[in-house]
Amino acid sequence: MKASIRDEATLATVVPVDTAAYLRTRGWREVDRKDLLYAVWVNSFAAGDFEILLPLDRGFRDYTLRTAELLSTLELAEGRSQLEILRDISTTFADVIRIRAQHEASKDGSLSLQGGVSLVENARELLLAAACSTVSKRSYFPTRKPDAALHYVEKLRMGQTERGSYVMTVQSPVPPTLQGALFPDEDLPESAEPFERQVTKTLMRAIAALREAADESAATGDIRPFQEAVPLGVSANLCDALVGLQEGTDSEWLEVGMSWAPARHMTASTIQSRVRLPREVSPVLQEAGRIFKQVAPLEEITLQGFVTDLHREDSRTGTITVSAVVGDRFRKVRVDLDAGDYDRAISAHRERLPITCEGDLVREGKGYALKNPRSFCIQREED
Amino acid sequence: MKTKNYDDLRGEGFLVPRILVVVTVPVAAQEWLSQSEEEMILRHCGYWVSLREAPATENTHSVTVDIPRRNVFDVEALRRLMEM
Repeated sequence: MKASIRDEATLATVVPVDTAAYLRTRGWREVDRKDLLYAVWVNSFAAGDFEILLPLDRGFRDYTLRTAELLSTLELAEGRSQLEILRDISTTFADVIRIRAQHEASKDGSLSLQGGVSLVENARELLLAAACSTVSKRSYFPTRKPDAALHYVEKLRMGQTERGSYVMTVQSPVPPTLQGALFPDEDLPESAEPFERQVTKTLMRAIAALREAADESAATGDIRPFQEAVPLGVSANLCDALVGLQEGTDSEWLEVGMSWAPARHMTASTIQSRVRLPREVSPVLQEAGRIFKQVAPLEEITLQGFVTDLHREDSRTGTITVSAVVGDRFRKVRVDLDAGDYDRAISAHRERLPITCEGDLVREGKGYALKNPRSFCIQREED
Repeated sequence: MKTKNYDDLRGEGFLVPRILVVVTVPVAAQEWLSQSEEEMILRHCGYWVSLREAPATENTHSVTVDIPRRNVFDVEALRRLMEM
């Protein structure tokens, strides 16, 4: 499509640093520069040698005109449409997630309004799930999400939708790789990369793992492939978000694709940048999500039961075992208590009174443990 | 010239400097171009002026701009302008 961008408002949004980063990633070289005024970039293409005058200040009265010229030059040089180039420039500093829903009714590029609402909501859930898994690999993130994950989701942007079935884009800003860093990204562990990039990597790795697990699980009828994929970022939340996306849009298949930000070097090239999930995997994902939630830690529950064991090695803390109903039967749950609560536990044990304690119930080895215990109290008969 | 155009050319803040070029042509258009085996003549010439330091105007419709006659827009002048 040949379309010259002449809209002043659109042109004014192009940021010089974005353009410079774009040019650099595309092999252009800066050959001249007058600080605060302009920079001259050159590059050779099949179509010939090109030169670009990049205004460095958006305050120039002829900024939009110069930007329009720059886009026409790039269009000629790269043989791509200005719209495409403009989109790439504005997302130089962002990983772009493309969620594509394919179904009959979207052939004209539209989607039911309700489907759109679901698409947006579940896209957010999808990214939130990946962000949670980046913080810690767990099979289920119930109500309370890690701050880092919530903070990350706040910074996400919804891009322009694109044609081709129905494509929603989400921009995940990521800091650029700077030249001259002490260690190149390849030499650093993934955990040293910016959190934003860790999340997008986790997302793609997890969806690919989920796709494989779904196939395996469907063949064997076993939940284990899903559980084995948890360290790769699979969670009940991820399953739910994908099921939500598929059901909400009633799509034949759903595709999640990623364009890595050009300004941030992409390490780990083994990560797939596009995964397609056909409609038929949805029920499997749904079931996996349900099972994950059953066995996942139960946060903020109130445990009620009898102290059956007391164990103390130093004067500050002690560990007790409580026999309590968990799910549908009695189970032994370990609880680490501070000195005061431990003394109360001793009294309860002596007087054979039940106790209650709030906390997060998790599986530990073959048993259970109550983490972050609080509001420990003895239930006396008059209560 | 129209006040809007005057304001578009006037003042600072451009990355690429702006000048006003006025090309004079014969009143009768058919006298503009004539050619023979010896020469091709485009009658009259262009004059340039920079409005960078021109004052703001209170005129709402149009502004009259003076251009020095020595400012002929020829090869020499263009070279000098490009080197400024």
